[in-house]
Amino acid sequence: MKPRGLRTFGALFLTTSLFLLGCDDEDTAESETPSGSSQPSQSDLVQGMTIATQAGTGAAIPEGDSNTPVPGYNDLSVLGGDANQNQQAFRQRFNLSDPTQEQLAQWEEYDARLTAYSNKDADWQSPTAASANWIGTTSKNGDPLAVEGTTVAVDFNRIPRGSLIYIPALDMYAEANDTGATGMWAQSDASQTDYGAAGAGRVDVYNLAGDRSSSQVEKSFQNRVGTDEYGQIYVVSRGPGWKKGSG
Amino acid sequence: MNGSFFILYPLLWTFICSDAVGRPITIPAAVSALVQRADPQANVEYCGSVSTNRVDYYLFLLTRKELTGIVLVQYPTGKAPSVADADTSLFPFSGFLQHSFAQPLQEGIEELLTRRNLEKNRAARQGISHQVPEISAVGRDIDHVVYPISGFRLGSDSTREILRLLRTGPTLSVDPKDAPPGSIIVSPTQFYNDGPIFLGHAGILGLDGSIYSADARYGGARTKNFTLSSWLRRFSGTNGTYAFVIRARFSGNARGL
Repeated sequence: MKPRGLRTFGALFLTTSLFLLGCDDEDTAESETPSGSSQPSQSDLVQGMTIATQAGTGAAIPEGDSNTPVPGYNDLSVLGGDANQNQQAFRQRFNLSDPTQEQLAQWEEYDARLTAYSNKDADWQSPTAASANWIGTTSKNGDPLAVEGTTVAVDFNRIPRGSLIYIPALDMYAEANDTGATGMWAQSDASQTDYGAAGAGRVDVYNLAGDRSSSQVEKSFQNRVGTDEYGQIYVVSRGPGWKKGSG
Repeated sequence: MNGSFFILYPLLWTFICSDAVGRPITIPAAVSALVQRADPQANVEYCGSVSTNRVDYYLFLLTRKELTGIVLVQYPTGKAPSVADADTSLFPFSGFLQHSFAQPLQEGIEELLTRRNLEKNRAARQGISHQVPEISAVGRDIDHVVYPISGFRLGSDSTREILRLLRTGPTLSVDPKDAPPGSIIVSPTQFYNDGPIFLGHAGILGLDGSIYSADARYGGARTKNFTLSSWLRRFSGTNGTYAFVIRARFSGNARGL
């Protein structure tokens, strides 16, 4: 006759063994990943490769390589020519990236009337005011003229020459280094809210027309920014001081 | 179901009738200012309002580059408006919206989104398994790829819900920087009641560090629109980024999408 305690211990041992065996079987059946491991198994990785490959099947892939901006919100090709490349070079040169919420909160926000001008405009003068105002910052090739993708014309009475601005509707940084028919703007836009105390007035974005007419440029631009040309801008830095120390 | 349901439900339903679910011509300036301030870079689309006896709710769609989401603003009588909820999808309802007394509000939100989608002629894009009117397709696009291969599916377009499902599902959490191809990457929407709102996103890590995700610029179509590095730059500081490997040999109960 065995002692009662020993029989109890035996039953407990058997139950525990069966329980552990059962747990082990279940783990093996569910996954090849060892219990407690945080590393994917070979099977997980193989399945992942299948998922990754399938994800690319039928997906919309922008033309060109993955670095090519996709058409849409941050595509500046509507401005013509090398606008995307110029904006990219501008950002790289001055270490500019998509603004954060914190940055936007710190920058000065103004209502603005976003309009377009181009080298096909009848009143377009060559060289533009940008030529005289140019300080060697926005052109990648040294051409001291208005550059699509980085140049805007503003009312210098409202935005000082050389200021860095950001246009949310285009996701575009620009240097305010050109000026348009400021007096005429102020007269024709006098009733616009953008010419109120909180307004930056008209912000004329330079376009390289290419094969397009002046009116086509304006129409494309208006379709792009929408809302009947009304929008906002941020003055990131007033005046040309932001360029100091930049390569 | 507690007793308050029987008291509150009829009371709320009295005020959430067809006349109270709609699109008033004017939005209170404080409400529109809150939404604009919450995400200054987003395009804002007003969907309509739902009124209860004490609180008016205003529903907005935010679209910002690849991302789209929904914002529900609550405007209690005599108080300042605040963001009640925001995400790529409000379904399934969570937070205060999941309580039974909020059932009429849930129905009002669904009605507004249904109306909006019908107006935008997007009804055809709604998956047959989706009974709720979705705006974003972040989860659906992942499911179309992952479910036939692994048997696991999310069944939600909410980034917060997607994160929860991945954390509790047959997955392994991995460091996003070292995530292998095929991993699901998710950055949940974050918001504060007074703003800002940081819309989240979710996608599949493809080969060569590319990421495929539903892209609002293409009507929610799956698009090669991020690299892992650009995703981390975009979301890590504001939303947090999480990555999960779906474990192989997960014998899910396959159901049609």
